[in-house]
Amino acid sequence: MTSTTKLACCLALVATPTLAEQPVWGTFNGNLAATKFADAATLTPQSVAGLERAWEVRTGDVSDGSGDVPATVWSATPIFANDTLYLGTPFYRILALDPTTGAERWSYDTKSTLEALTQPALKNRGVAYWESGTDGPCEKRVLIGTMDATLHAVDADTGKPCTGFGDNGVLNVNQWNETNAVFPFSLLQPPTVVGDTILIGWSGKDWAYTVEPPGNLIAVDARTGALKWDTGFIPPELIPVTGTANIWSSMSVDQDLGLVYVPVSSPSPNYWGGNRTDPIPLATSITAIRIETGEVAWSFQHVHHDVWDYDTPSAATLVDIMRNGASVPALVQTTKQGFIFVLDRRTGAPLFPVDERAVPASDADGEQLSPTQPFADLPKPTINHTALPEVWPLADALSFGQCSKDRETYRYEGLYTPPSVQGTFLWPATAGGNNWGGAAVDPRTGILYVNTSQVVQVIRLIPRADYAAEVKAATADSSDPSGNEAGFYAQEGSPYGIELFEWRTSLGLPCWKPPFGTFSAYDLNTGERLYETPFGLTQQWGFYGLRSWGSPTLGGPVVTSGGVVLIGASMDNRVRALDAATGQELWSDLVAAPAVSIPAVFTHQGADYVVWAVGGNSILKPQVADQVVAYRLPPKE
Amino acid sequence: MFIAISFLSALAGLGFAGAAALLADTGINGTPGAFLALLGAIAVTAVLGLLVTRTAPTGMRGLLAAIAAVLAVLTALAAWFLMQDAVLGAMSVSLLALLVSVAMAEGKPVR
Repeated sequence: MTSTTKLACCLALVATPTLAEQPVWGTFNGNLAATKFADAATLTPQSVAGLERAWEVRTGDVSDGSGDVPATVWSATPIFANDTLYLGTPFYRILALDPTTGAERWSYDTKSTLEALTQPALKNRGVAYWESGTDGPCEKRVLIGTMDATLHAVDADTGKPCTGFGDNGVLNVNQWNETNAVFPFSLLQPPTVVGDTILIGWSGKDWAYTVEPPGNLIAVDARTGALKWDTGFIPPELIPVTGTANIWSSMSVDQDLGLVYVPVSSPSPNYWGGNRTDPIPLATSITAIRIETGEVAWSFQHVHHDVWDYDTPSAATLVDIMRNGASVPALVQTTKQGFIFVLDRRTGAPLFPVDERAVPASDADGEQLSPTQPFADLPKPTINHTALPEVWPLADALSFGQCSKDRETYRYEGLYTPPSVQGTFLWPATAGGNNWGGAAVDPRTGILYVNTSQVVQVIRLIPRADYAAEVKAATADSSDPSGNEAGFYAQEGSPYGIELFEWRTSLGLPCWKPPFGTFSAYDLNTGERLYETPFGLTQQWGFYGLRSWGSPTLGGPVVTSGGVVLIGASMDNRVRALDAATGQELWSDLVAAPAVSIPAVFTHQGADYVVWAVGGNSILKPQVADQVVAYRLPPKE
Repeated sequence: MFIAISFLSALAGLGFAGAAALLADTGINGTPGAFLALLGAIAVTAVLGLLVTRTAPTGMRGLLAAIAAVLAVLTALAAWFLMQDAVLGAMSVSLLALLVSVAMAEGKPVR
């Protein structure tokens, strides 16, 4: 029996339609375990081809960056709670929509600055929801963060500010930004709500400076906004010389264990670590924190002394799996490097072997890399980093051998080859591998579903003395003198700026052999990969690539109890339904831009709905949008 | 008759290509590829227009038919990579009708 057949049999057993419903989609990942599992039994491989648009809304909150307002990046997961669909927009407004028709019930404008203070664009990944369990004004709240570091709480029924929270409904989170405050705590990812506690991470720009705000997790009271605790991730003695190791992505929670699992990012600056040669044990880690006290329960560092920006990108997925005949509470962390770390979520102990292996050394000034890094061969990594992908003959021929020449020019000695003045291939790219979309898991089977980008970048360290001249030369015809749009980042305070770009020909063709994106399923009980298939379509100048090439992706999947995976994420402006048993496409629909978001899947008045926020992301292509699209199966005659 | 069918089909393809290039949310609107397909459809339609209106010199008709056929193939190929089935279908019908027209013309007795 093949792996795919086994999976098909397994899913056939569980895909029998039941009366199960998904009454809420209350968090960014659907639930606090971040499983992205929807008990939407009508969405089966047999039925899903009949999905129809129920409604579509344009928010108006979009910019392509050509005017005064920076470009928008919209990756919000809609929240379905209180019989209402709540969305955050990249202009930092909340929309409350009727889930059946999309009609607006109310909206709330934070009046946040529309300046890209910490990111290259105006970003929003949605809102969070809290309810006390009793009736009354502001006993149900919607929370949205802003680019300029405020957290707003409004009544979920009316959209009116909850005046008892912060200062008349607005909490100034930047009040806790007291050290190395070279940028504000941008709140782009919705906070995590556990009981009456709001857990807040933030975004910065760790490619810009050497000394930056030290990363922390802030816990506040959901009713008042009062600080409960604040846990930092940079050792106090290193705070004067470095920063970040922040939490910019979503989190997961085991309420029974009283733990929140936080994805901690890399220290600053991203691509050189001569300023931080002492250990920073909590950086680039999965760290379990006690919700009541903020105390660190355990931490698993998956990159030592990170100089690749392989920060932990997503909420860990919590699922119980079978190991050695017993059910074990596990945590599954997909990573930019392509490793899938499966840990015992009580202790952080690996449930599959993790080895420390020797990695290449650096020749950059002052750099002291870790001599080893953790490797996990099981489950099989989503990226084959035993070797750099081969040069794509088509691209090589069309570029008159440029790709082959590049292959000889730039350094690559395996995963964790450090950035260099000569130029180093980053494989996988800094965006991963696997990014903030994370994975979905069916908790009944322990089968994990994940989309992966297969992208090669080149990073080049530029000595400080040469940096300004190089940027000036590269941006002579550009409206962006910082050079950021051209891939230059200053890392001010370090001996090197950097240039970072995808390995492409001058015509824009990738130099490496496809596939450029894949979709995979894993049996977490055994670590076996059940299938890997190209996913999505690339698009260049309007022309689509072949199916076998796949597409880089941003955004994550949802799996239903009926055996269907729902995912946008690819370059080609399509949202798709896949057969969870095989990864094969069952249905797709054209939308206004790449749907770089996780859909919300829920049941309302007996019908299962799938709702995507369609906003685009310049990492995939420049196209942006402000579209919300809801799908459902047609009513039975 | 077949040359008229070829022309009308190319005209329909031109409409579809124009819509794909200029209307919102077609997946390719505003892209170089869309405008290339539109340009191809314009060229095919224009050449077939010369044939269908008999404004081209008789001696040039064979050459123009060959040019139209090549342009239709290239436009159809572009449409295939742009996932524009309507343009692909219209160009395919246009090409087929053109080929039938040429074949029938060659089969006619010379007077």
